[in-house]
Amino acid sequence: MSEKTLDQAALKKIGMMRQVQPDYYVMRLKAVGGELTAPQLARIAEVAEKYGRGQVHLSTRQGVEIHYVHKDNLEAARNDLADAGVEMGACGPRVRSVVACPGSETCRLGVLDTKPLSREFDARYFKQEMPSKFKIAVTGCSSNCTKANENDIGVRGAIDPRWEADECTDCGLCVTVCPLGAIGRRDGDDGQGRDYHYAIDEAACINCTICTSLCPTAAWAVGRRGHTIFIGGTMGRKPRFASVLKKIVESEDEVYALVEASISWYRENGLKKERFGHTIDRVGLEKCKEEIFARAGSQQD
Amino acid sequence: MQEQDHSRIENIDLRGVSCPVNATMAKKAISQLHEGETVRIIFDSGESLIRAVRSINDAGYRIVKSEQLDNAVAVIVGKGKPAERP
Ligand code: SF4
Ligand code: SF4
Ligand code: SF4
Repeated sequence: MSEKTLDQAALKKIGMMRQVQPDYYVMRLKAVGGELTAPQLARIAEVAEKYGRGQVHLSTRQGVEIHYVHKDNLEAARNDLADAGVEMGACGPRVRSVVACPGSETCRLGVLDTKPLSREFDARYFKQEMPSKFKIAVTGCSSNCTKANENDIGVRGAIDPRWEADECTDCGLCVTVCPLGAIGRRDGDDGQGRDYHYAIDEAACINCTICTSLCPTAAWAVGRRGHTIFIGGTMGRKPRFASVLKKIVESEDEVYALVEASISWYRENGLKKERFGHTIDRVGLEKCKEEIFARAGSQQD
Repeated sequence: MQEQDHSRIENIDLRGVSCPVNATMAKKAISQLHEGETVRIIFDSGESLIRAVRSINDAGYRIVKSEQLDNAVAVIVGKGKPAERP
């Protein structure tokens, strides 16, 4: 990498970006799901000291960047990092580092074990060429700490509450604590032998665990448990909130099939530099969803 | 059962008291209840209500009623235990 004219596109592919300062580069490192080991951090610190200016920059997507690396040192710095298992990130029109929250492994609110899923997405898609940049996020529950709906693909832990009349004391707490006001008390039997029942407005419900975890008698039970899949979110210059592809996907196999179908659909339909969400808007969300479900061999909600 | 002084802690208005102080004050009030007594506590709606309710459940008290007010929620709490969850 010491010849005079460096191939900028090739450098971007491996997470190296030109700085304002001539001959200096940013090295963007990969941290799948925001994870780095202590020895990796130590090596990053060493490299930043040796080849940069002794500091790092933390990106908004869990990336660590070493700034002020001279072009003549890029290769040596990269090798030092690679020796400790620290890989380079990605820039340009390709799949970026997969981000994730800590998930159910450590978070008390977690519904989904985010780390294995994010590692699998990384193994399948990291650095693959796309029409434009492509971001994948995994978040453990509806608190949405990793902002699933700001990403091209977002996977969020989800549960489907089920009301069990025999346990319910009609206290009304679920109605007042549901953050979306999605629960209502209705007159009449729902088949469970009471003259009232509690029902959920499915369109409003975000599949969090607030009703199931706060009901004093556990009358809201966890029915199905799985993943909500979002497509087409982006921030940047032309923000677009993601669309829900499917609210509850129980099996991981179906998650992978739907993500694969979404990515292949975007590859075929996306124009150069057009983000996934903008392709969806140009083609039409319903048509896009139909085609994705057909490709994945899966059914809509 | 002996005579109880119900008027002591009938209604506690914790609107405007922020999290986690609201939950701490609520739990202090509930801990002073005798068997069979309840207390009505008013919280602001939103995230701090959810935290306060979680904290009341975790402390082993039983919410028996809840009603929606304007931008606030009243809960009536007694000493029984909430259900065990699988
Ligand atoms: S999204 Fe949920 S599981 Fe993930 S860190 Fe936030 S609260 Fe925890
Ligand atoms: S919180 Fe539970 S017990 Fe109370 S009304 Fe709702 S379902 Fe019934
Ligand atoms: S899962 Fe969450 S949003 Fe859905 S009804 Fe329960 S509390 Fe409301």
